[in-house]
Amino acid sequence: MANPNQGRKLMVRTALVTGATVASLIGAQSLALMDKTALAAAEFTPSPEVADASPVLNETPIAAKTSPNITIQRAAPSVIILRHPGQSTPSTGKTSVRPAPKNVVIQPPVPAQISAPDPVIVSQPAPAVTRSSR
Amino acid sequence: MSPIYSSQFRAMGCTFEVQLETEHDGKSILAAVPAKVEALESCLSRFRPESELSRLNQRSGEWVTVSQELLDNLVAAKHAARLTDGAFNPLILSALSACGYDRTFEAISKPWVERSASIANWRDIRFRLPDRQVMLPPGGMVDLGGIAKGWTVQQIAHELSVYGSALVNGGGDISVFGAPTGRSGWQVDVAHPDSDQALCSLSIAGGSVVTSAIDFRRWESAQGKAYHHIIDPRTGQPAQTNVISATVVHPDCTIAEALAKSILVQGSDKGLALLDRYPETAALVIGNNGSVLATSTLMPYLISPVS
Repeated sequence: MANPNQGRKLMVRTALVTGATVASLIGAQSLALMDKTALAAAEFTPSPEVADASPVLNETPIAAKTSPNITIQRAAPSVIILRHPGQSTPSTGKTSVRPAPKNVVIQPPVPAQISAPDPVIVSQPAPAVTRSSR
Repeated sequence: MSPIYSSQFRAMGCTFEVQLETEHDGKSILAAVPAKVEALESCLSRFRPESELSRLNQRSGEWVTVSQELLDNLVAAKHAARLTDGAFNPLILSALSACGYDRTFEAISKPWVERSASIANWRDIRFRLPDRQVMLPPGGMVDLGGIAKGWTVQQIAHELSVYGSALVNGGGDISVFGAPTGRSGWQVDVAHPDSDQALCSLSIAGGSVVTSAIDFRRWESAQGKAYHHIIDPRTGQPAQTNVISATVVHPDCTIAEALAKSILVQGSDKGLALLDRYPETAALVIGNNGSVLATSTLMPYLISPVS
């Protein structure tokens, strides 16, 4: 014959274990939700330095409000367009052009390198122009 | 009436134009001109390290035997310095180089650092003419850019005059022998410094027309200071002048060149006053305030009014 006290003790222990388990599950779920919120805020907080340093940023950064406390900014990536499709010559808009080295000297060819055009007969004398040498 | 032959080519950093009225084979005669100019440039250019002038500049303070062409240019340069009281001085090469003009004008580029240089006395250029020898003062270096082009166009025009009436134009320095048939002279347009329009036209039957100006050969130092190629021998710096352009008519092209530069260096008042000594000279001066001045001796050459 079972002791009535033993049955009551078993019920109390079962209730305690069940309650603790349920409490643990609820607590863990709450903590997980808090972490998720914190992570989302950390990942999407904009970095002003990165946006300002973009070399081809030519538009105002687009701001999107996702919540009263979180603002997402999108900046254009660092892309330089050297030639647009269908263009035969480089674009002059945002093209980066490297200047020629300063120690390069370009001189006109001396007469020995090119032959002067043949003399021609003219119908009348042409006016000569006097000016600073060029 | 004989045909007129014309040719153009590049030499001495500018465009040469040659016109010859002749009954001879003008094409063959003019075809030989570029080689002659090239030979003179290879002798007289300061921009070519191997030129005879460059080698002479490296031996200042010594007696050096030179070619007849270089000797003639040096004698003409010293004569021009005397006529202008030193306002024209061929020994300005060190000052020109210090101002950044140490290479051809087309090759001048930033950066270079401003510095100063002394200019030797032109009276110290010495000659032994029978031996074709010359001695530059110690440290003195010659730049013939002031007269060599004038000497060259005059030399070529003189040689062509054997065949007929000739005009040789070296980048604006013009020498003329004779006049085309039926005309009083060759037409020479004086260009306005600010445009390609002619300021006026002259008729030249013999002699030279030269224009010197500060409107074209200009550059800047790395510090942003503006420079031009007309050096004042008194300061070693680009001339501070009220003249933009000076055109001179004279029988001798080297003297015309020197007088034009002396007007730029000394300014319009002193420069034109100097010409009173030389009645065979005519001049037209454009000031930086827009004024245009001319000597009375220019009037007989004018065939169109000043516009």
